[in-house]
Amino acid sequence: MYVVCFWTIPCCLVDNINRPAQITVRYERRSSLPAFARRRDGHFNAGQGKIGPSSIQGRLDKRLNPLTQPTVSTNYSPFRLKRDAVIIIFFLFSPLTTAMAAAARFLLRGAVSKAPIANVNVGAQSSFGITLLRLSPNCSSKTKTQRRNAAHFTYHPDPVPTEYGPTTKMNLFQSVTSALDNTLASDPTAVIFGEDVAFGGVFRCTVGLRDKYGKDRVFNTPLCEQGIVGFGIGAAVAGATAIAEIQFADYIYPAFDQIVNEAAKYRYRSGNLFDCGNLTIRAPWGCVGHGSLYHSQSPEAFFAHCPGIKVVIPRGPVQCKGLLLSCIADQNPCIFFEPKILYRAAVEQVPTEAYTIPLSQAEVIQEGSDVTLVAWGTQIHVLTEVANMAQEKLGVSCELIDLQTILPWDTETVCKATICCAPPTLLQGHHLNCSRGFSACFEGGNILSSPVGGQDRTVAYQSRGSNHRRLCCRDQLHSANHTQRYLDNGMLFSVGITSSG
Amino acid sequence: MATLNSIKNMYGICSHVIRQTTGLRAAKLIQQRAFRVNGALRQQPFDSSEEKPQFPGASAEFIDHLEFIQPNVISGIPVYRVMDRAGKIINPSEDPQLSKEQVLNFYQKMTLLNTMDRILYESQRQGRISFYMTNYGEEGTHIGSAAALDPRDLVFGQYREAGVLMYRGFPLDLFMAQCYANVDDLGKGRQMPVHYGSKDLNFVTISSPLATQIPQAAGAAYAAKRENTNRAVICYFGEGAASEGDAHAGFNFSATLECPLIFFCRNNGYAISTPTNEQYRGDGIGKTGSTLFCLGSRSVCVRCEPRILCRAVAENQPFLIEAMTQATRIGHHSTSDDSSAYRSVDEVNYWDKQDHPISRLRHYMTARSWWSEEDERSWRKQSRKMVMEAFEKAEKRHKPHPDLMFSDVYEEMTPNLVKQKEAMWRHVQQYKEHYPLDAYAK
Repeated sequence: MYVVCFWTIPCCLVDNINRPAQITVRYERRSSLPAFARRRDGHFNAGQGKIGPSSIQGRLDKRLNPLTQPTVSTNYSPFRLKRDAVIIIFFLFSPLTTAMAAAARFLLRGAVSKAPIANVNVGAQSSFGITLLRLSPNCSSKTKTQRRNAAHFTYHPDPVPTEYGPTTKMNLFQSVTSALDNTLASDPTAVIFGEDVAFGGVFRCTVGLRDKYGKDRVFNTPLCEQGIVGFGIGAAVAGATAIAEIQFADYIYPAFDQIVNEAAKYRYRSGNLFDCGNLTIRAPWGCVGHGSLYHSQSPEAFFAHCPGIKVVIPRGPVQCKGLLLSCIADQNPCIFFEPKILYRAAVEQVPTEAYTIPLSQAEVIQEGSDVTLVAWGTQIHVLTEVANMAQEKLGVSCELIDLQTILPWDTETVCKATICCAPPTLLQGHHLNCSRGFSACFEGGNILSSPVGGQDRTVAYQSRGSNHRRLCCRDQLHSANHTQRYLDNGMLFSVGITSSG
Repeated sequence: MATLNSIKNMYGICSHVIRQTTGLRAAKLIQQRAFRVNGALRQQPFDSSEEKPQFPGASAEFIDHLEFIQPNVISGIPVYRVMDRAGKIINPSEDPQLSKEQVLNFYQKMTLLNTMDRILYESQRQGRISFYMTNYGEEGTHIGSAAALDPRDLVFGQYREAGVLMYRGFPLDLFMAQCYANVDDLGKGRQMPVHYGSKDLNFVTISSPLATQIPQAAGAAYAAKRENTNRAVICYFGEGAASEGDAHAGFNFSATLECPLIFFCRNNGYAISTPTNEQYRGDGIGKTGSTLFCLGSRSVCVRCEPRILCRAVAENQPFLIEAMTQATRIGHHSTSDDSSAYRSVDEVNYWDKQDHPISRLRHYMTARSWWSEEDERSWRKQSRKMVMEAFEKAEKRHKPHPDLMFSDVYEEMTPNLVKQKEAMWRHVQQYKEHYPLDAYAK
């Protein structure tokens, strides 16, 4: 078993592997910048005003030779697949794909994406500004497609659940509102608080709740995350069901001490005299494409190694409502990360009544026999596509697992899936940086030593010559200017199914 | 501007409280209780016609010349005291009129705490327990403040509040059990000594990180307010912990969310070795809590606190009491500290000999012939005996069962923890000669 970490475009793979099987990946890419503002780095179709699909090969070529213009899609793939190679691709998250989802959103919303020009209507200053923009010869909304650079992924909705009663169409933030509504209705001690939750929240997750349940139950707090979580812990200790909102997961760090040193340890250190199990912390999570460094982070890895708390991430509205209600009911402090890119993009038929989806149970979304793919949140939708592509193009049968609960995670389901593949190889993907990312539990020891089905498979697993790899993005941050390049890397990995060597 | 206004309010309240006489109109205050939420209602409605600043939250006037607000324009918040050093009540109308039984109870609890401190401090020096923190010089604040509370009121402490627990009736056995981490410890032997906690006595278990309890206390007070059971919360912390961001967060949250909470700052002049002039500017932390009422109190805290508590619950407002506890922490910070490294022994001796709350209370009692030398001698003997008995008993008790290492991480034991526990037992079985289990409960 060995661990290999990829953190850059796999130039090495291109060099080392001979011309392989063909995989074509097409991605819609739009430039929203006027010609004078586009970067001339070859990454965009500089000066040509052309918009169209670009292939992975196109981008690869550019990297190998910066002067090469990206080509239109080709039947060319840098990767080779050996039929007998069996891998588990593990994706936590691909920033590129969330950016792609953002584009999907823009496409769907159509006119709304022209917002900078069309929709501003406040005051004389802005109308002057709008006129100026409209009259500028370089900045006409008619000639170019005015969409921001974004990538695309397809959201795969869950089938309509039949076991929880009547359903209605909801997107992700509406499913959050629905869960909170159910909670406030059934639990008189429940309170929801955080920055700006009173008017409905910056992501509209708490719309209507203050009017319905009162100012004492849905209220704003001062701008202080350590205070929000500390307050939540105290309220939970005193017996209230406390649901705290952190406005962006990027801002959860001031509350790190309260979460790790206090919330996680409350029950243990008091000998079970006191606990803050009634606390749930919710935060919008993950990339959207334009969030840059501080509105894009996925910090679950920081909490994944902290016993005492639970960390949960849903992939869609049905899962979101069920998992959130489970977190609220669970008598342990929970952190619930909501993929913000899915707030509007993910629409499903969601039961209106309360229901729970069990925590610490991974869900096998698709069964397969050759490769196991494990992910959570937005990445599930990317991997669904990947699994389909792998089946069509390569004839590889992928098993797709949604981990859902990051801590404590369902070792048994993942183990069973892994062991069933022969020979088992572990490919870990870090969603963000090479040096970060939640994968330690998968790194050899934990999976290998987990007994499956009552038997300790350690020896058998190792003897099969298992491989263990990590795929991740470069150790860089979300840069607004370089998001595209950053995201490219992620996407390339998501397509790479490589030999185990 | 808002700050100035609230300082004005604060002083209005301050003088009002001090003017109040002994016959406290407590009942009336509780009846006046209103459940107010979010002062958004109090914000001035926008009215462009008035010649006043219309900024959100502003209620001040315009002026046409620049004025600097000097830091000491309010010349030091006055320190409220009832008794002088000799134990005499300074203003007879402020006499709390406590009964002999009550005062004797206070005195006995204070001295019992003092005795327990001496013995446990020595036991740490002898290697019997790993760590200890004494409460010398602060016994008065603990007992006094605890006496004013209702037993249902929730207490969030920092680490130097053992007197509060003692007053509420926490037995010596359980103090010792926690320090020895034996099988009787309510905390199951998981924490360092002095990290006490008691669900029955509504004393939330102590944790080592400083000031984390302050915003938690605000949350608990909010939940208590919603319960509508006239329950208040008190939160203790030192003047050093008041520098933490959590403290500012707690003050702010309790003020904006209108929580019935008392912040009790034990200002004993030192945070380990850091004196107050390196901790903050000004003569106390009171000025930082500008939205709160502040006063300093000496040993007979019970005088002012019931009034403050009533107002806290009735008006759903937080109050800050900054107790200037005999101006210095008499003992070392803990057994890991030797304070002669940063302060003079004379300074400590002065406070210990001349201005100790225990001696002040003794003078008060002797003046009323409630306590004699003989009572003192016999009580000293008795309290020492009680402490020694509990101490010897605690030393002989077993340690908690090793399984307790794995429980209570989560409410339920996760599969991982179960596996790890089993692995541990297999290991211990295999190498049992290296893991003697006689000292542990079966």
